Amino acid sequence: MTEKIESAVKSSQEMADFNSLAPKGLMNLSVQNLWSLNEKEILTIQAHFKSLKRNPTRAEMETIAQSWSEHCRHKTFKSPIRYQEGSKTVLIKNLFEETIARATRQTKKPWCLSVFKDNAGIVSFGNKGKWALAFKVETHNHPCAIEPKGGAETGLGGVIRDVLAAGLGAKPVLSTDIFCVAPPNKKLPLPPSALSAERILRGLVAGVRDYGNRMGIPTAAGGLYFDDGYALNPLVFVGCVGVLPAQAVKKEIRPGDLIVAAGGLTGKDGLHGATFSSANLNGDDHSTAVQIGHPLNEKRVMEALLKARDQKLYRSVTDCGAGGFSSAVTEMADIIGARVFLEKEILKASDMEPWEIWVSESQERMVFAVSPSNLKAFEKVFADEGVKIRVIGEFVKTGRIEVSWNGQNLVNLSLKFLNNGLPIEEKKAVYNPVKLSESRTPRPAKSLPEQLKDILSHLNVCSREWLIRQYDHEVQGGTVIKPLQGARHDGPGDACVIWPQAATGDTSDLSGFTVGHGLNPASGKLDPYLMAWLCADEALRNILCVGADISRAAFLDNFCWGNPENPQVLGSLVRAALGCRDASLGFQIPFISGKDSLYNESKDAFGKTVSVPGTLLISSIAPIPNIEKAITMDMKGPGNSLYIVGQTGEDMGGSLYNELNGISGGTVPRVDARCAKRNFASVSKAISKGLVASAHDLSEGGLLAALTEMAFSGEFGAMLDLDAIPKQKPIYSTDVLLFSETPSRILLEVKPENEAAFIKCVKGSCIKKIGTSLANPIIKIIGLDGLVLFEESVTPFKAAWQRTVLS
Amino acid sequence: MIAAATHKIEVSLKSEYGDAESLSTASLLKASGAPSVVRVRRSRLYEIRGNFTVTHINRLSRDLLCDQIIEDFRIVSQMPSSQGPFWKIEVRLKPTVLDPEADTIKNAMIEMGFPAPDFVRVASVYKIESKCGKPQIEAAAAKCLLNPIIHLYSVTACS
Repeated sequence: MTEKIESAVKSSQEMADFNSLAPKGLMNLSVQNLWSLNEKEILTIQAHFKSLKRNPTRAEMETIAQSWSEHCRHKTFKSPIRYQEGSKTVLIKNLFEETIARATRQTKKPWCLSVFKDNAGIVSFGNKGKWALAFKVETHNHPCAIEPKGGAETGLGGVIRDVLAAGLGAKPVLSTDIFCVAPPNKKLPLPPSALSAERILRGLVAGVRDYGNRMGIPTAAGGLYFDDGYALNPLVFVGCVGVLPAQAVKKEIRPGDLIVAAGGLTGKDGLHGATFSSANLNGDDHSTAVQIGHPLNEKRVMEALLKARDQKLYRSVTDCGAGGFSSAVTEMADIIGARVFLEKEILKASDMEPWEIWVSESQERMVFAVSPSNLKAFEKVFADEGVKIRVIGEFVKTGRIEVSWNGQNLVNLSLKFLNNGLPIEEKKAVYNPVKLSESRTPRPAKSLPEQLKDILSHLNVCSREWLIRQYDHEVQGGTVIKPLQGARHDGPGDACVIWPQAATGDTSDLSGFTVGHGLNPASGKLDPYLMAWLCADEALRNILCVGADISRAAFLDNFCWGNPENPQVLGSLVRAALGCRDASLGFQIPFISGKDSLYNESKDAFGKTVSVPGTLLISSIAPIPNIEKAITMDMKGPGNSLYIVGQTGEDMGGSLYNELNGISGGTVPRVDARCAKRNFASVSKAISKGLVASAHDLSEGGLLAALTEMAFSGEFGAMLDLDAIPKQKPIYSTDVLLFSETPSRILLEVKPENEAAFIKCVKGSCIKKIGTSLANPIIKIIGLDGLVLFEESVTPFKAAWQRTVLS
Repeated sequence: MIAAATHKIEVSLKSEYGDAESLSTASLLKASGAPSVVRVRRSRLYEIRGNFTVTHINRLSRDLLCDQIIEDFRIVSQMPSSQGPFWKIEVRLKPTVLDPEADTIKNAMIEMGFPAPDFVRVASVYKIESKCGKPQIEAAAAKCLLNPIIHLYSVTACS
């Protein structure tokens, strides 16, 4: 039987001479067709087809290239790596398994319902255990470098579809966005093909705004980070959280189920996204990889999908992302097998080659597995929303992917070869520690108030109001704590709190959730291992500050690195992954989902290859058992006590203070997980008991920046005694005390009537009183000598901080 | 029987309303190498092909394309309107690129009972008052108003 099909394939669409090509010719073919296959891979494919005694078809080559791409297969994270650090060399068999996956297994959290398997990580949610939360953060870097608005739109559209395809489908209730771009006010030399940083930033914001707002999903969490290293390769992280019934987490496919496509029609737009994203960016125009988002199409699919889910009309679903049908169907068929008839798909462009239909990445499409008995009802639900469905094939128990077009065979591949045929290559990674000089803290020329203004108006600290106000963060009516907080709704919140009553329809359940992010590329330049720790710590602190139950927190990882063929680049990636593992075990918080984007490098104006700074984003999600207990960061009144959580150390390496004063070196902060975990648990308990009025985490700019932000957001003042700050060892420099960026520290405000209960609640933790809030909006600091070191009105500092990114 | 023709409808903000988008476009152009930009007026241009009467087009413009409280519409004829001198830049998506806005208008027209249009496309029009020469305006526009990878554009002098 198989032989018969094989001979039928032979007669059509075959790539003549493929099997007789020399390695050089094969590589040329790979480059020409944008397959991004390396020599070993393409030789493996040739050997496979030689054994079948026929040449592959174009569609088969496309299928293999898509399915073996870095984007779909995460080759770097799953191949063996010989890792050398100093004089030590170890062999890591599978980086992902030995770091992140192992940590998640060891933390053994029963509330993790699905990790790393589905389109998003799923954890249980709600006080009755009836619901679950799906969370996914994607990167969409390459398309955004070429067309920022279209790239951001389709990136967000894609991650929303990931959440729609998590389990049997989750209703999206929150979108997140984090952008890493070059400073827009700095004129950096760029090659002619690159867009300016301002252009990119405006485009990205417009894309997220236009897509998210039209989908009716609040965009209420995110971040913005500026560094010259992102001039050529901006990084775009988009995330989405959805709510689904706990019993809808499992999906399955049975032979005989129909393969049904729904949503947008297939066109030529976005060919080769998967293979393109696994290639380095250079000056060539890849206009076919550009996609434009169509939010209204996706909105219709979303509404229909949720209805069909509740009527149990399908058994499995996945989204058509990179690789189009080729990836979606192959992924669903897994080990079963599928037969696809491409002529059944409705096209929006008339001049398409059959293989193009198979790999086109036209947006807003989903693929379902529907049992034939449910097809009619399924079709009706979608027709009611104005969505056309197309039955394009069926799942069959053959263990093969068979694709035809009007009787012409295009693909006939065994799933065994597709899933397991990828040759494993050992990679080499080297990590050379950066030599850090001893910390020097020369007396800066500027006065203290000037320095504070510089810090607050720094691009990585200043107000993001320009951007946040363009997003609809109120839609669905569940944004309990908003991204901008305080008396005038313009203070920098640590995290938002969402009460997904629109999705659950249960207003008696006051369970909410919060999402935070940790990103710290500056410390990654000094030590990627410590960067992972700092990111985890920051992501955790952000959600803790609004009152999250951190014993139920989960992490997501996103790695954006340069070319992993370069042992130095891979070395720093490995070190960051090791950091993730240790941070996860240290805090006992599992990773539930992740994504890596590699090859983020391109040629600069002088023809030199530049790669992005190794960037790790750790996102955190945790439930808030009672949204009425959630708190914000603005000071609530005069006469309240201010407490600091955690000890302060001399951690100036990679700090904003050092950057602004041109000081290099210093030690990179280390996280003391045992101590931090104990402190965080106490804070979490105190907030849940309603004993804390406000909380704000200490990040860029250290203690003084955080205190000023709390004060001007609440329109109160504060008095601080530097001598009362708990220190790891004696510190004699006031600048270090005020600007050190020691991790795991939080500032808390406690009302006098709660103080006794608070002290009892946090007993045994390092939480010390350092000052009080004042009615008069001034910041007053008593120096180590007992004299007033600083006494200034907060108003000019707020003005400095509100220097917006763009206008 | 009415012959199929392409109708062009231009929608712009009434002059009494502050046009933030035009203002920011002007400052972007200034920052992108066209310092002598005095004023920018931005409008949307709808190109609709099909069998439509003038009544159809007027109703369509009034009820769907234009927000009558803050916007005015104008059916563009061959005769140029004289408000010059200015540079007119038209920016539209390449035919191979998906145009979701046009798609939505097409669907809405059918739902409103109009005959189905053969073709709908949306473009942006910028009327720029400036002493800059054509190459300068063109270069500045390519830097901040459009992306050559997905857009087509034309610059014409109007007097």
